[in-house]
Amino acid sequence: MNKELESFSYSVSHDLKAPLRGIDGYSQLLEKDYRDRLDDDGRLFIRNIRSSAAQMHQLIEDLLNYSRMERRSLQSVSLDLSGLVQAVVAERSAEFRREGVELCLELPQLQVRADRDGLALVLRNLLENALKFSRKSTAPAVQIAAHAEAGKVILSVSDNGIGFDMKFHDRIFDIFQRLQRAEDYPGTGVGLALVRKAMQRMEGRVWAESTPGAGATFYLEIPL
Amino acid sequence: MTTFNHPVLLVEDNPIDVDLTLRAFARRKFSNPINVARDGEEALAWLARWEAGEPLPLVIMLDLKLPRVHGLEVLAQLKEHPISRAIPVVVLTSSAEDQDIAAAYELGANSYIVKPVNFEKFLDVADQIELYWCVTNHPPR
Repeated sequence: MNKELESFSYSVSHDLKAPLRGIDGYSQLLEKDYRDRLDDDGRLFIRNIRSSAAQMHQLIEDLLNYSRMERRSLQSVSLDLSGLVQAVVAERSAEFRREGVELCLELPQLQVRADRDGLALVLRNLLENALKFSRKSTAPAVQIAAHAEAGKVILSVSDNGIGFDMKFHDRIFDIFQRLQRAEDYPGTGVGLALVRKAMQRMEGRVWAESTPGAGATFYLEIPL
Repeated sequence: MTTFNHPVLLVEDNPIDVDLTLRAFARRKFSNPINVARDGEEALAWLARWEAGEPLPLVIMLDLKLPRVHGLEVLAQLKEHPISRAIPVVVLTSSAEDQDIAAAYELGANSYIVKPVNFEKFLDVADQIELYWCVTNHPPR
C-alpha cells in the first residue's frame, strides 16, 4: 500500500503539473503576444484561466506536502523552540511589515523534542493562517507565546482576526474544509489538516479557541 | 571562451514542455542551438554521435520521468561514459520529491531544478540556466 501511495504521489507531483505549465504558459503567451487582438472580455478570460491554474497548482503543492507528511520518516531531536519560531517568523517579517501586522513574541528559552522540518512546517502554516485572517482587522496583531507545563511545552499563536464559531472546531482541521469563501480568504483547506497530521506524527496535538469576530488562538502541545 | 555556438541538449518527452522550454530560451535571446531528445533512449543515442565527433553540449537539461529509459538511468549512464561524464547535467523536472533529488545528486547531477508551473518563473529559470551554465561556467575543453 505504501508503495502504491508513493507511486501515486510521484505521479501527482510530475504528471499533474505538466499540463498546468502548458495552460499557464500558453495563456501568458496569448496575453502578451496577442494582446492587441483581444478585447477586454478576452483579456479577463485569460486572467481567469491563469488564476485558476495558479489555484490548482497551490492545491497540488498542498496535497503533496500533506502526503509527504504522512510518508516521510521524522527525526525527533532536541530543538531550541524560540530559535525555530524566530527563524520561521523571519521568513515572513517583510510581509508582516508591509501588511502593518503587529507581531509580539513571548518566548522563553525552551527545548522541545520534535522533527525540525515538521515543526517548522506547522509554525509556517499557523503563522500564515494568523496573517491571513487578521490582515483585514483595523489594528492587526499576532502574538506567539510559549510555556512549559507537566512534561510538555504549550505554544500558542493568537490573532485578532475574524475568528470562528467553536461548533466548527473539529471541522477546520479536516482536509479541504473551509469556513470562508475563497474570494474573501484564499486558501485550499489543506493547511490546518497538515498541521494536525504533523502534530499527530510528532506525538503532540493541536487545538484552537475562538469567538467569531474576536480572533482565534491555536495551541500546540509539543513533547519536551 | 566563446561558447555561444555550442549546443545544449534538452531531454524531455512532453511536447508542450519542449515547446515552452524552446520558447522560453528564444525569448531570452538564447542563441545556442538546442538539440532535443524525446526519451531516454534518444538521449543515450547521443553518446555514439559525440564519439563520432559531433560537438559536445555545454549542458544537458534532463527530465526524470522519461519513456523507455528513466531519467535517473540516463544520468547514471552519462556520468559513467568517458565521453560525457564531464558534461554538466541539470536535472529539470516537475518532481520535488526528496528521493529524486537525493538520487540525482548521488548519480552525479550538477544541479537540480524543479520546473515552475508559472511561466514567468519558468522564464527566470531559463535565464539562470543560460547565464550560469552557458556564460559563466567554463566546461572542460
